[in-house]
Amino acid sequence: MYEALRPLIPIFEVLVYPGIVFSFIVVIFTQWYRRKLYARMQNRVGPWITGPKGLLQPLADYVKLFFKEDIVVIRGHLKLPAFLLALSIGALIAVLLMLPISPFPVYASFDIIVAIYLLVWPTLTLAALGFLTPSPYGATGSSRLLSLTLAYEVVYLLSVLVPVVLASRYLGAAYSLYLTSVTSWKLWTHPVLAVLMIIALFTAIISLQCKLMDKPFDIPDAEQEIVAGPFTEYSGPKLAFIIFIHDMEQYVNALIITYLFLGGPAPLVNAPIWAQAIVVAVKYLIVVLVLTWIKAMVARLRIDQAIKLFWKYMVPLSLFALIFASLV
Amino acid sequence: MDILLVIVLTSLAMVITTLIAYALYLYSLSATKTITKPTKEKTMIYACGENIDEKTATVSDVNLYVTIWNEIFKPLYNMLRKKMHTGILNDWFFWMFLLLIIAYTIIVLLGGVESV
Repeated sequence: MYEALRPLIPIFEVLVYPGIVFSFIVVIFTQWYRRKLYARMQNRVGPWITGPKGLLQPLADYVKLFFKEDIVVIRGHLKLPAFLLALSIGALIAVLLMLPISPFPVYASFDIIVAIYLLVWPTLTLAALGFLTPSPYGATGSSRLLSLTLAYEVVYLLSVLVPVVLASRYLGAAYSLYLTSVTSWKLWTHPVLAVLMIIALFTAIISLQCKLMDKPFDIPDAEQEIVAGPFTEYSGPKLAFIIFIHDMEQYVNALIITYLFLGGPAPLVNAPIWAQAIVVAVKYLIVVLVLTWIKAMVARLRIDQAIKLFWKYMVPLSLFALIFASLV
Repeated sequence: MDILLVIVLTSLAMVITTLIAYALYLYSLSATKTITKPTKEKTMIYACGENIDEKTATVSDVNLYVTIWNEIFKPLYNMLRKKMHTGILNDWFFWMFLLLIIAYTIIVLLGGVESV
């Protein structure tokens, strides 16, 4: 019976857990949690009408956008942006299969390259959207996004590689995202390695904030300057996809930070699965809290200030951590 | 597991999800077909509340990329120009020699070049 159902397991993983259905539920909850936190930090109430404590407000927003008119501006494309957005959602779901959250994870030596490749898809898609409409705001937003990409993607890559290199050198993780995720908690037990992990965690969170285009790095869609940047001319289901991709990026990358830097279910690595799940969920919520806290605390930087910040401070810092991780 | 199998499985996951998401988009298009009222005003390009011609609704590529990087690297460029562009031949040789050493170091660090 079990053997007969075995080929269906990957399909179940993609469609239900940790794939589309589970991700959608987590995205709804995370968006509600983040909006509620952000509102509290600004002395507001946040979503509170739809569902208990406003929990279903993000779902209502998605449904509303999904059934609104898809307006395509003159010389714009109807279906190509939607297809690119669908591909990006696919890339993010594929990354989830490589993490320990998946019951039957997909992993191999050096699969970190595949994971990083998949994580770049959404950024490139969002940048391409601006160029697919003839709006000057779209082109300006996309150019800002691509310029920022050359700064923060480097830092994010270097930061993610630090625990991967350390775990591969000392714990036999073989440059695999999954194997690093299940062993990285041991790196915190050595004082020198712990310092490198703290530096990499700091640079990873700052670069993730830029990847998510949240303050102080909401430069590509700065509403007072360029309306909504690359997303100015998009409405209806395409806008729903854009918001969904932003939330999915936040979910997947926060989960990667939870596993790679914060040790996943540690210190309860030998506890029952439900206890491990609670620890991972709490750590994930703390990462989202920190991201929201930064967003609520600071004002927007200019594009040159942001790129200078990354190339002057973050790149050397993360490079230092990676070089030391390769040498110690 | 082989890395090629990882690539195949993640690609399959990506394709399945893409098809589902795209099918949902097509369903949304068909569901909203009867209620939408496309008008010319909706499809025009606006900037600062004014309608602009789509042929002129562009930004010069110089203002898109080059300006950002020029602004960022201007202090470095000015500093290097002052030090390199002195008109003294020895200064020029010094900088060329320095660049050669940097290039050589990078090549050695990358594993060198195989002799033919």
